[in-house]
Amino acid sequence: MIELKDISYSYEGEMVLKDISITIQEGEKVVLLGINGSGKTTLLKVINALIFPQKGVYFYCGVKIDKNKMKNRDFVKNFRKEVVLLFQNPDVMLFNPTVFDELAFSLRQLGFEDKEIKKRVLYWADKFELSPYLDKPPFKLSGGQKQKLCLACLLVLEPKVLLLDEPTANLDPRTTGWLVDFLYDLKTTTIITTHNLSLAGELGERLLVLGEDHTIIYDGRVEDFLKDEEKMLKAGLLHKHKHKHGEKEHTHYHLHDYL
Amino acid sequence: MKDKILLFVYLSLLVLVSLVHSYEWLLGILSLLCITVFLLPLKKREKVKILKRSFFSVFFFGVLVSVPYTTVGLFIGDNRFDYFLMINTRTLDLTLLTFVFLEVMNPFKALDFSKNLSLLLVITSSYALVYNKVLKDFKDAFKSRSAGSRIRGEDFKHYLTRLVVYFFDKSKETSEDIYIAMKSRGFYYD
Amino acid sequence: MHIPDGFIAPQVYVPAYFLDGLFLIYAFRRFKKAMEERMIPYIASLSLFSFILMSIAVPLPGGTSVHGLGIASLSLLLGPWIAFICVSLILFLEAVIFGEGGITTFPINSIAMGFLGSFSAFYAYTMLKKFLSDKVSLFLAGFFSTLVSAFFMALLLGIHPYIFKDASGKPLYFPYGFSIVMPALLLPHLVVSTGEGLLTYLVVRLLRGRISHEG
Repeated sequence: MIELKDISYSYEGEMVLKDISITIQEGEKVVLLGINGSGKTTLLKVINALIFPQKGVYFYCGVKIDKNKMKNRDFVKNFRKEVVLLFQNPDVMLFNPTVFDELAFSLRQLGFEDKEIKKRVLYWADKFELSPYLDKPPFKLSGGQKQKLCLACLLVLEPKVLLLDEPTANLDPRTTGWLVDFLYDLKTTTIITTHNLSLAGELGERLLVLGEDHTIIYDGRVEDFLKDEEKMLKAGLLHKHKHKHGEKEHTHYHLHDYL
Repeated sequence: MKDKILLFVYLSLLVLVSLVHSYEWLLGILSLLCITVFLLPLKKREKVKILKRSFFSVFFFGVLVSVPYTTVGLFIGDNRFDYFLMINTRTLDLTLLTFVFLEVMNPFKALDFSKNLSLLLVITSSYALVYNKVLKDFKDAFKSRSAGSRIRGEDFKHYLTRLVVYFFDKSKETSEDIYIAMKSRGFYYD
Repeated sequence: MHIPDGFIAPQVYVPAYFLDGLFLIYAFRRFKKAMEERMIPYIASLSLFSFILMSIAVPLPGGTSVHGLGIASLSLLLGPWIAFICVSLILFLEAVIFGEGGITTFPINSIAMGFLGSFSAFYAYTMLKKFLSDKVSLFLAGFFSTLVSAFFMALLLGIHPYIFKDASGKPLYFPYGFSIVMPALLLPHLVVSTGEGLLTYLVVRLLRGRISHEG
C-alpha cells in the first residue's frame, strides 16, 4: 500500500532521512521508533505528502507521489481523505470556532454533504466523549481532550492510513491507556512514532527503528528487537548510568520503564 | 575581544568595498573572498552553501535592476557593461564578505558592548526558531487537512484568526517565561 | 523589501546608521524608564509576535496572496515607539542572525518601515478616525503606512543617480531616477498595501480587547 524506495531528505544541508526503503501492507500496525532528531516526524510528513524527498520514490497504492501529482485537485482530495496525520502538538491542528466546526472542517473541505457531515461528527464526538463540548472553542479543552479531538478530526474522514506523531507524549497514563485500547481495535493501517521503547510493543506488531544515522536500522517484530541489546544501543535507546540496586551501586545497560 | 576586533575589521572592509567602483578591483576582491571561503574551517558542503546563498541573495534584485538598465543602454548606443559588472560584482562581494565574517565572528559577543542589545538578540533569535517551527506546523496541519488550492474564505479567516491569537497569547507567555528566567539568573537593572 | 548591499552608497547608509541608532536609543530609554526589568522580556516577545505577523500571507481577492508586515497593527495596538523597536529588532535579526544579508540597508529599512511605518500608521489612524469608521480607518492606516515606507525607499533610491555618479555621468550605485523608481516601487506596493490594510484591520480588531495596557 505504501512503498518507499531509497528515500533521502535533507533540510538546509543537514541529512534528515537517508536511503529509506520500506513497504507497508494494508492493515499493518507499524511502530516507528527512534530518538529525537532521527527523522521520525519527517518520514511521516513525506508519507503525508507535505514534503517531498530529494532522492527516491514514494508510491501510495501504486501511484507515484510527487509535487506534480499533488497539484491534481481530484487526486489531492482523495489522498487527503485516505492518508491523515496527527501532529505532535495538538494546538497546531485546531483553529475552528467550535468543536463541531473543527470536526466538520475536513469533511466540508473534501466535499461531503451536510447530512453526512452531521452524522459523522455526532458519531465521533460521542465516541470520544466530546459531545458536551460541541459548541465550545477547541482551544479551551484540556491537553488530553485536544489530542482526542485532533484524532477524532482525522477519523471522521474514515481514512485508510493513520499517521500518528508521538501521540502519547503529552498524555497522562489514563488517557494513554485509553489510546492504546482504541488503536488496538482499529482496523486502519497505522504508523505511530514514539521514542518510548516500553510503549512500542503496545502500539503495533511491526517495528521500524530509525538510527542516529537517519537510516532504518531495524525492520521486524517488536519482541525480537527488545531482546537485542546491541541494536538498541545503536539506536540510542539504551543507556548506562550509575544507580543502586538496594545497597550496591553499579552501572549496566538498561531501559527506564515509562508506564 | 576578538569578536569586537573582527566586527571592526568587517565594518571597515564593508565601507571600503562599497567605495570601490572599478570592476577589475571588485573581481579581484571576489576571487580573494572565494579563496577565503575555501580556507574556512568548514565542511565542503557548507562552503558551497555559503557561495550559493550569497549568489541567490543578490541574484533577483541584481538582475531586476541591472539587466534592464544595461539592455536599454544597448538600444541607445551607450555601453553600460562596466556598470553591469561593477554593480553585480560589488553586491556579491559585500554579501559574501558578510557571510564570511558571520562564520568566524560571534555576532552576540561582538555586540555585547550593550548588554541589553546582546540579551535581546540572543533571547529573540532563540525563540524565533521555535516560533518559526510552530508556524510551519500550523501551515502543514492546515495543508494536511484541506483539499489544496480551493479554500473557503471563511475557513482561511478562522485559520488566520487562530494564528494571530495563538501567537499573541504565546508571546505573552514567553514574556513571562523570559522574565522569570532572567530574574532567577540574577538580572537586575540600575 | 530585500535590497542587497551595494546599491546604496556608504555616504547614505553610514549616516543612516547613526540616525537610526539615535532614534533606537531614544526609544529604548523611554521604555527602560517605564518598564525597567520587564523591558527586555516585553520587547523580545513582541518582536517575536511581529516576526510571526511578517510571515503570514494574506490572501487577496483575485487569487494572489501577499506577505503582511504587521507594523501598522503593532503600532496601533501598542504604540509607535515600541513598534519601531520591535520591527527594527526583527529586521536586524533577519539580516545578521538569519543570514539574509543586507547589512548596509538595515538602517534604511529600520527608518522606512520601523520608524516611518509605525508613526504614519499611528497618526493616519488618529486623524482618519475623526471622520471615518473604525474599520475603514484601520484599513487605511495599514494601507497608507506601507505606501509611506515604499515612498521613502523610492526617494532614497531615486536620489542616487543624481548624486552618486562618476565623471562621465554613469551611476555608481542604484541607477534609476525618480521617474522610474517611483512608479516601479509604488505601483506593486499598492497590492502589498492592500494586504497590509486587511491584516491591520483583522489583527487590531482581534487583539485590542486583550491589551490590558501593559505600559
